[in-house]
Amino acid sequence: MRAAAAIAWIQFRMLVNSMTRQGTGWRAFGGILLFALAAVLSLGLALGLGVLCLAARQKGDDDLLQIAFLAAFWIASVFGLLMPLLLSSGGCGLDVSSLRLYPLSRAKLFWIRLGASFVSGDHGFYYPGLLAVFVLGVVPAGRGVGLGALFCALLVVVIVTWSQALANGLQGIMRKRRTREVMGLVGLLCLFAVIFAPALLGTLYDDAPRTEPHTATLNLQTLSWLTQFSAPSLAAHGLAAARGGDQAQVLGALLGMLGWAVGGAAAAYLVFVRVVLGDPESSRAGKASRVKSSSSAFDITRILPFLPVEVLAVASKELRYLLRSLVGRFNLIMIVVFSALMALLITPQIPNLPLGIPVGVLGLYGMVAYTTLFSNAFIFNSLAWEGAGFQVYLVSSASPRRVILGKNLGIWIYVATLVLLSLLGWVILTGFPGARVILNSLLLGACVNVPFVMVGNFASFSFPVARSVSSLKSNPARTAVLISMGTLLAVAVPCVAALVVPLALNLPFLQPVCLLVLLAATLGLYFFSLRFAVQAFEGQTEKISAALEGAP
Amino acid sequence: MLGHPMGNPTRGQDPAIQTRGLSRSFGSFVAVNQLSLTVAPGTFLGFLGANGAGKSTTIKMLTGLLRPSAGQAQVLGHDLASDGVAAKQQVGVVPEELALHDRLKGSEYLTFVGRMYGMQRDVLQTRRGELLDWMDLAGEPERLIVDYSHGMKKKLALAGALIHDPRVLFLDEPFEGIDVIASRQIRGLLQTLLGRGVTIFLTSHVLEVVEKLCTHIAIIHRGELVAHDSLEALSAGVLVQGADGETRPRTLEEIFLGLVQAETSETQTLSWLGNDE
Ligand SMILES: Nc1ncnc2c1ncn2[C@@H]1O[C@H](COP(=O)(O)OP(=O)(O)O)[C@@H](O)[C@H]1O
Ligand SMILES: [Mg+2]
Repeated sequence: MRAAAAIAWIQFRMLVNSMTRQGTGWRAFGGILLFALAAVLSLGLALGLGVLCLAARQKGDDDLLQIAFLAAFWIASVFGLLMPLLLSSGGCGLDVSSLRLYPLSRAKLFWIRLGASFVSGDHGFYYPGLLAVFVLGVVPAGRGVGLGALFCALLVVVIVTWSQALANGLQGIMRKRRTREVMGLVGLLCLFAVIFAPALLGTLYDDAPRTEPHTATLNLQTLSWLTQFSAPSLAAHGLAAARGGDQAQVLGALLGMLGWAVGGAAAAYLVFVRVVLGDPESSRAGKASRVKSSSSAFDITRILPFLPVEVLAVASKELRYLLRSLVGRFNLIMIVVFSALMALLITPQIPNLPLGIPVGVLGLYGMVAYTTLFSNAFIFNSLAWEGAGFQVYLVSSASPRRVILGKNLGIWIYVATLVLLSLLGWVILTGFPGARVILNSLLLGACVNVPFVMVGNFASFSFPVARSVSSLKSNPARTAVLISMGTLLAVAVPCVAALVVPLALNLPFLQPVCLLVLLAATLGLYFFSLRFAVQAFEGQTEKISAALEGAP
Repeated sequence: MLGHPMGNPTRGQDPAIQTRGLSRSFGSFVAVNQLSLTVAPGTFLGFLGANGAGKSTTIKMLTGLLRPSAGQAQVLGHDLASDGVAAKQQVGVVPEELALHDRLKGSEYLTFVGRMYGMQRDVLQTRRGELLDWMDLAGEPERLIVDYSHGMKKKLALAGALIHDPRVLFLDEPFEGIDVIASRQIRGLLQTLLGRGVTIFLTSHVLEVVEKLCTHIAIIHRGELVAHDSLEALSAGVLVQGADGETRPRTLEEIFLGLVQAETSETQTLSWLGNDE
């Protein structure tokens, strides 16, 4: 217990120190604003669920109440599993592996880590929502309150333990830089293929018009049958049974939840011992980390020989890093999954649209725009992986302008790859949507991405944060995240206008023209902004070096 | 391959490195104070100082990593503030943190650095091959830099600093934390470079190595330059009595300790280590 208290104290001191050290100006402001935003979202979620519960009780509508429970539990589960992956790669800010120095048993380290995640922001986010459905949905009924509390608590245990297992497991896979990693990714792809293969085959041999919900429904039925055994559904059913007084059902749900919880704890412990406490150096030696010699694979100097050699040097280095990074590779897979989901599940649900926009095309545009956003972490914190290597830019005779151009070129090639992959997935699944639509999508992707990179330069130089190549945690500084949100809003308006106005005028062939004009304007703005980006870069080099020095 | 024909017709008279009143403070703390130093071409200068004396800060100011708070610095006659690119073209640096991108392979890193100095493809290719040979890397299936040993990383950083054939070389603690073999190899290469007329500016707090290699010594203490001369001149100043009763020139360690007035407390001990009573 003394050790746990000491660690809690250290965590608290580090938080306070980091706040007082950087507690000036934009950084602190961004932090507070983003925290406020998260708090508003979290409380808003609680409020919405609470209102749903109240409405259900007033009407005496048990089905609606059940929906509220399901919604609360599923949202909690999805967020609880994803947030640690996206924000802290399961670390919840506590690096337990460094605590191995001290005389603490493995079990104790595990409990300390688990305890830290229970109270971390990753999971705290959905507590208010759960509390709202419990207080407003379960307590007033007066029956099964104790059981309700038990179900909620068990659900939290299930979420936290499984999210630990998942986040640490993924990290472990990726830490073995070659074999395991590839195996893991291949596994993901196989899973994806198994789930979607029937739908895929169906679309290939399906001559029916694409406007109807299609073969994916078969898979959806299987999926929804399976979901009743998931922890959130079990918990919700258990709650309903507790209110109805159905002992057998309650017992079944309780056993199921206990199974999930015990399984989660076991999985989390095993993964913890193997990955977090496992020898992190073991991957550094031996064959596992050998990289096949294929230097010319990304040698873009041969493709773009007319550019200055320094620009190409930085761009190809950038591409190598993107393709060797965990997030960079993850995105390549996620983009395929994402485009398949859009093509199969979401777009068919869109009702017929005004202005004669063909069903599905909107989904395609949305997808392409979103694809370019996949690389936000790299665009708004573009120096994250430089580490001490950043100094090469300063001591070499390359001008900052060329360095910036090179970095931007690298990210553009990467984003273009993502867009092309997603388009390919789309076309395979739904058929060729027409040359104009494809052209529009490509232009739209460029129109969204150029301004993003332009603003991202300033954000990256002003708010650099060191990140590890081999971690899923890649989020930019909080202020940079806010800036990216603002940029998104600013970019969306002209892009939507360029797509919609020609349709409203019934001149659809003007769409690409409008997009081209928009692209030319943003490119002009981009090159104009470069001068100021160089100034921002040169003015911040010392700050950036200091920020990147802590690179893991 | 490495090295130069001696001298340069236009800039032959310029000192390799010249600073005037070079200072840098962090907040109110003055890390380097009014440093004025002139280093002739072809010198191997050992820049000595205790931990935190300001050695790295000086090197960083001379290589464009840190801006001076005051004063000027010239490298090969190019003012760093106004004409930095021309200077950097002829300077190689191994900074304290080793400016490596550790998710590249060794050869990729060397290509990257070479291109950053605007090198021609064919020249780059031959030099990269030779440098990889020197590092005993050629032919091996290549690993990412992150998997290199510390000594290999240092050698790679040095290779990166040499690939564009610089005339001035800045090395911050090149012998820190490496084994005897790598250390010998690096020393050998530095001596070859010196023979070719390259100016070397090396910081260290390991006096034995410096004593073996350097032609000149500068000592910095709490941000101020307290000595700068050739090694012989420094040690010839005062003779001391050796253990055998003979008089001999002072060792570098004696000079160093004398100049920085180290308040050593060899006699002081820790309470629980015990007076054996
Ligand atoms: N970025 C910085 N911010 C504040 N203090 C610094 C910074 N860099 C160096 N210092 C301080 O300047 C002094 C000299 O540092 P340095 O030049 O690295 O010493 P060394 O001679 O060991 O290389 C040290 O006391 C160090 O704490
Ligand atoms: Mg130092």
